[in-house]
Amino acid sequence: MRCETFRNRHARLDAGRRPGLFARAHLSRCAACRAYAELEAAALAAYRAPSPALPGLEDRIMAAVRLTPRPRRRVSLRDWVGVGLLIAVSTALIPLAEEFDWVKELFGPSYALPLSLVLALVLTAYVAVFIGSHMTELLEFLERRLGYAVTHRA
Amino acid sequence: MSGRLVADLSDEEVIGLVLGGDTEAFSQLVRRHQGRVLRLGMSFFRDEEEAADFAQDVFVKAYTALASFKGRSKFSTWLLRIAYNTAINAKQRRKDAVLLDPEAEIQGSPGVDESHLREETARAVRQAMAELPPRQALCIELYFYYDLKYAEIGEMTGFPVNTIKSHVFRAKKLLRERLGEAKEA
Repeated sequence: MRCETFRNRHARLDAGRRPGLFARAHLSRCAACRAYAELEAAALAAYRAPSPALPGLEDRIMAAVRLTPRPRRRVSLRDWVGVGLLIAVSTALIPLAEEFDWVKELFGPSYALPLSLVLALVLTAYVAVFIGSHMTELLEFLERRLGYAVTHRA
Repeated sequence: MSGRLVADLSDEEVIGLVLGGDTEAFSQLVRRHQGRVLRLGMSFFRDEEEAADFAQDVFVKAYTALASFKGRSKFSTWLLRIAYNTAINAKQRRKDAVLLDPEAEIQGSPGVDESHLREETARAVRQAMAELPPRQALCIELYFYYDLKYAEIGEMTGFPVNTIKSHVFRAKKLLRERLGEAKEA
């Protein structure tokens, strides 16, 4: 491998990736390229040296954090959707169950409508709680998709 | 848990403590990452006070959304994504052009050799960034300073990986020239 080829490949290398086999072989033979790779690594390390923090910034941030409601572990989206589907399927299947016929016989056909309403109400309440507890994600999604801020500062 | 012990924990372990109710453990994350967030703020706002407000805003947002951190990326990358979106949104709200200042940083006192290398790198980065529209220019800073991978930069900024690669390649060529010149001088 020529030095120019090595340096071009080296310049395209992703962060944290090791050079390929041929590049490493070249590096072991070519002192000039080895010196350059070391110099570039030192330059990047110097450039990335952490900037000193502003005095008092940590205290200021923590004071604001203490006034913020505690983050809570959330139920994963997959679990939310899973339980929602379970409720929806159950709602659809309950009228087909034998027990439902037994309830109809016992209380008469007029019982079916209120029961269906209650089941629909449970599903609606679940969807409402789901949307309500995912407002932040919804706003972030809209921000990403629409490309502007939908949140407002107080 | 004592401060000494919290300092030894990884970011993910500290997050576990915070989610478990130990709000004060969050200060460890602030201590570790405030420099990077502040620098991004300085790049965007070019004003120390505004950058400090920005850093506060970013950390409060991160704290609020901490439960949604799933560890699929590093915490620093996740935090930087919040910072990037916050900065872009703040700029758009104020209808400012997104201008970046790659030289922007808080006063430091690196050693002489380190300072020289840092200066040459900053010049190369600045020169490469000057040739690009501001939002694309940030890709170079995200690679050079924040040490992010092409895919992470792409995910954060929305630019194709190949575009980012070619910008970084150009910047590295400029850096090579600068380091070569510096060596000869």
